[in-house]
Amino acid sequence: MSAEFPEQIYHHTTASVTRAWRERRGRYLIEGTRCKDCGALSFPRRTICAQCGSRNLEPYEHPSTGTIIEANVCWSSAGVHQGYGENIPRISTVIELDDGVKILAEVTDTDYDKIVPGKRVEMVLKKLHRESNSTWQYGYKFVVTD
Amino acid sequence: MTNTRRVAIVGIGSTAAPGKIHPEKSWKEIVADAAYEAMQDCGMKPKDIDGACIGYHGEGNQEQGGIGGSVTDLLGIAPAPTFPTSMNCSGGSVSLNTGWEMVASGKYNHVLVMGFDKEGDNMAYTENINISFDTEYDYNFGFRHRDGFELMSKTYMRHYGYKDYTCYAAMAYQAHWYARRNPKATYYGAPMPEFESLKNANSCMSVMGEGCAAVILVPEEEAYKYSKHPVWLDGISLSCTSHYIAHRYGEPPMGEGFPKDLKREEMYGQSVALIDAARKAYKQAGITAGDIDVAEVYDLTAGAFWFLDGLGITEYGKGAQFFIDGETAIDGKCPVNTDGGNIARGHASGADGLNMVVEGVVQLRGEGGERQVKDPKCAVCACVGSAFAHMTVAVLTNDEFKKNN
Repeated sequence: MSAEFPEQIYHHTTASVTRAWRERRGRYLIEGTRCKDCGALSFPRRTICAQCGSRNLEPYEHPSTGTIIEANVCWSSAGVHQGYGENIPRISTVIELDDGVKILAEVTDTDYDKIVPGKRVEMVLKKLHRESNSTWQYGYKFVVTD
Repeated sequence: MTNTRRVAIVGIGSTAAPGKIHPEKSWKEIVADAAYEAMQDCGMKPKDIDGACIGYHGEGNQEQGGIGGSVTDLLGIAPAPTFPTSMNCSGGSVSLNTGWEMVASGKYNHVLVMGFDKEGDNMAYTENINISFDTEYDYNFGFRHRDGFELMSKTYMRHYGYKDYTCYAAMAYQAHWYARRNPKATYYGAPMPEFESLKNANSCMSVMGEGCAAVILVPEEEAYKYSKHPVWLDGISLSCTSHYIAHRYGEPPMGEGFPKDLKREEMYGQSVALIDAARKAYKQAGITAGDIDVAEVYDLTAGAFWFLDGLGITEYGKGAQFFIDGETAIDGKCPVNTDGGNIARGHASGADGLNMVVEGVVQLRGEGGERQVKDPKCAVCACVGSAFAHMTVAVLTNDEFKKNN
């Protein structure tokens, strides 16, 4: 936690808890959508298929395993990192899930030298931060399993 | 374009040091400073303006929403309308797009286009700048669009074989060199950094701050009434895609096979939306990449590299080498960011896209002083909003361009 704020700064104007509730299946289960007409898979969930324009979509639970295709560990605490407190370094990875869908996610509980492209990862559910009404929010992160 | 009027830029204005916080001024004062400089530049009075548009990063960032009325009032141009756009860093250039349409359509004749940013008034700045991209997922997981830039930069450098940060140092050093010759740049008058000290991942970060840029657009028939050297806004386009950062890897929102004739396997860390925007703007202006004499691009991390590639100035993967080879210098093949860019001119988010255009006009008028490129005829200004969610390309030409082509 940062010295200036009792909690990470990216709590402060977080949108309504209703919004988090609405996206709960996406955040807890990596549930996106599948187009019933052309079969295209999407994450995050969509209401119109980007490939064929259909609105005939169904919820689709993506696999919880995948491979890192790009990774960045950023140690800077200046500029737009202000207020991230103990959440430095910022770890961002693009993961290709086993069904080919790409997802942006943080890799956690893993040595930094293993957070590189090519490593196999598995999803874990983590406590994130408080919503504006102080409810704790949860969501996916990944751990390297290689 | 059929049935549209040709549009000229006759007035330019901008506030100095857009990479610094200016606590003594409100957002209204910096907007007025740039707007009145632009009016003075072409000899217009506020009541001559019959339409305006303004771009800014976003309401969350400024703590000011619905600004159309406020802007009209602060400029003293009522009842002329002000159309606002909030498109992140590309706000100013998206606003230019709107301004072009207002004049080209024939509905308005003297249009003031502005872009501004005033981030220092906002206590929770980090929080609010981060809501300018995917807020359902990325933002709630603590990601920022800078993460998108850094991921794409790593992909670019690894796939095209750039093993160290020499290319970053070359880009940053070049930007600092130009900024020392631009009195409006944030680093004007400061000592030059050592080249070796720039060989790291942080040397190509924007120096962020506050400022405003403004241009005045008129139709062709009035161009010479207001300027001896009108600059023509011959091509302008905006292409949009998803805000979700992971979509940059494969661009599923654009559907299969888009844009046409592109080999996906050759494109690592490139922006497909930029390529699309460039094609449309070049077609509208009737130019090719070979015609570009000076380019203004968005330089954050490896940004300027994929901009040079996407604009067709270099082949895919060669943008970084172009900087290392010194081709972006004032006597190079294509001088880039002659005002110092985000790195050294400074980055006032919503003003950025227009600061580029202001510099393009300065160069095409031949008013660049120490940083003047030799006889430029065509300038291209390309800007990004969020992590490549919206890309703008503007093509500027002067009268010399017409004569030679």
